[in-house]
Amino acid sequence: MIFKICLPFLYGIFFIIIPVYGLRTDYGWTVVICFWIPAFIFYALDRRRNKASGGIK
Amino acid sequence: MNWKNFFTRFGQWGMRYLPAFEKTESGRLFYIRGLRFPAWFAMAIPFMIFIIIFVEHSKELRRTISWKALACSIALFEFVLFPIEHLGINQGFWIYNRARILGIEIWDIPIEEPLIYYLFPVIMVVFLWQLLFNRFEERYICYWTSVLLLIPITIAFEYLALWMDIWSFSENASKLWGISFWGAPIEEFLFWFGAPPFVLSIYFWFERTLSKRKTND
Repeated sequence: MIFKICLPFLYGIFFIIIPVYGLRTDYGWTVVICFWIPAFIFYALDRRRNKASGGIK
Repeated sequence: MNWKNFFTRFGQWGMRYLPAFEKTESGRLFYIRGLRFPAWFAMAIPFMIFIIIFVEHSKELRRTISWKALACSIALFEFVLFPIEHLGINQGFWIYNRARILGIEIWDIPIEEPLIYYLFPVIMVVFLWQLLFNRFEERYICYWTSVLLLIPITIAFEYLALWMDIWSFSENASKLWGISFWGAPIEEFLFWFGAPPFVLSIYFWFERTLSKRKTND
């Protein structure tokens, strides 16, 4: 429960708040576009592939 | 209460002694302050020690890690970081102290970056995840745990670099949002907290893609 909900939730605070703050400057949006968005896409892709393979690594 | 003003004042505590910036012929900012000492290179030594201990200590780690995926992740990380760093240096997102770097540059980037800092942190992040995964066998729980464990490490690293006067920030060089914590702007944390999930996510992608290809063969 702690690991499955609280950890992503805690990090989700950074995922949501910091990009919103960071997008206001050149430095901020550069990092958001190059790191945060690809990280989210690759993570989501892996979750999808994991689910498709029956949750087996 | 105006939180932006509060954080700006609070953050400027570490920015009171901003150096005098100079400009190269191409207009890039830099400064020289303090004794000449390659502190940026020296800071890589803990990374190297950690990695040697990890690899030496764990036979299981050496066996379970996907070395091909790790190599591809490093290559992609270098590919992404190079233009970011070039842009960052030229736009003045951060400004290096020339007294604290080796002085050799590739595409305006101090050589320590592509040789050490695009390489060892990636290895460290992946090793940390793999160690946790070998122990707990929960792919995504270990992902989030690694990422959270790296938050205090990256914060410490940032302040160590600031304390050693390796780089500095200035609103005059590049427009920052204005919120900073003891001399480190909030954008810097955006960078530090974004890099480990990026590294692990691309490692996952390469690992799965390469193992799938192997199975198909």
